[in-house]
Amino acid sequence: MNRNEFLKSGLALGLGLPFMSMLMSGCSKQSGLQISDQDFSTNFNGKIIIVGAGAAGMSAGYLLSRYGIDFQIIEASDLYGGRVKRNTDLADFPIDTGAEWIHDEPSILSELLNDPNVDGDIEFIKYNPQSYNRWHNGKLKRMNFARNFYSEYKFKKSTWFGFFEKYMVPHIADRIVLNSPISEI
Amino acid sequence: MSCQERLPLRFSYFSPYGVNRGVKVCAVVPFDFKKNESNHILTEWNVVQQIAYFVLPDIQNNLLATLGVECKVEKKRKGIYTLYSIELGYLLSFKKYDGIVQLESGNIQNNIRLQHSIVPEITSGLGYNLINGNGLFMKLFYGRQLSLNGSDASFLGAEIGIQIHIKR
Repeated sequence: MNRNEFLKSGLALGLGLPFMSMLMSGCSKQSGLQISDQDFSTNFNGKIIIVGAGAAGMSAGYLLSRYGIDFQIIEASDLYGGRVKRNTDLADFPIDTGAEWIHDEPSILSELLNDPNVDGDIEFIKYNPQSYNRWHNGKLKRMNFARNFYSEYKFKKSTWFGFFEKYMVPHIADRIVLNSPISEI
Repeated sequence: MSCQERLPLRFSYFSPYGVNRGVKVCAVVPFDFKKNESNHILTEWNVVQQIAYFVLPDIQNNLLATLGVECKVEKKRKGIYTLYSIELGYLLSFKKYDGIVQLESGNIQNNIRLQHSIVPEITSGLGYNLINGNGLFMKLFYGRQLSLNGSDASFLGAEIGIQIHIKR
């Protein structure tokens, strides 16, 4: 399979779905991108190799698993997640130490999973990136210039890592090969 | 019919921070005016009572009521006038603070928190009389949002609208 064939097959199989849903989020902010299994029927019966178990790699693997395509995710490090990382030692709640923002509407989480049978809710908070507090001369200064321009979102009691760990990794864990840096293609 | 027997009303598009959108209704009650015959300048002092509603979609809805004093300076027969005012308002914000997204459906349940603020502000603007004192105006405003249960912030923006007169 050459590069063009791979890209065509990938698109046909829905590899672009996470990104497509982000682009379409302005059209469907409150409702998930509901696509039935019939929309992704394919005659492809080969095996797909995904390089890297980061957010994109895991999302691609998750979709392939849902549609019954054989695949393997090769990850160089000893843990999946890529730049999606989590710290659980610093506080009594998990902290994102890599990706932390939800730049889109929180319904993007549902669109990423695209599974009406998934059981779970995610708590989020709105967050004003322009707001910050500063300790100055023994007083707490709150700087909120233009805080009303826009807001973004963060996980409240979870993290991006936790989201992948709970809802995607169980579907793809046996297809992830860790500690396997790519040295030659 | 003199101006004293007609109540000026203003309806405007109102945009704090440029990204909020809303409407404002303003009742203008003249209480004093001075004519300078030598240079044909009419200075009118008004009490302005306003109520506004504006939103920043997906973030907050707001109700604002203000009371202020306005100085309107108009050169006779020119049609153009300037407006300056100092106002004090009460702002009630319905802020979406946090929420829950249901993963199976993507439905979002937002929790809303009320924020109360006092808003002193100054405004400056221009108006143009088209006919019988009815016309167009635009204003810029700047103030502070002094929150009673949140953080303070600047409060600035613009409004553009029409002025009409109704019988008292």
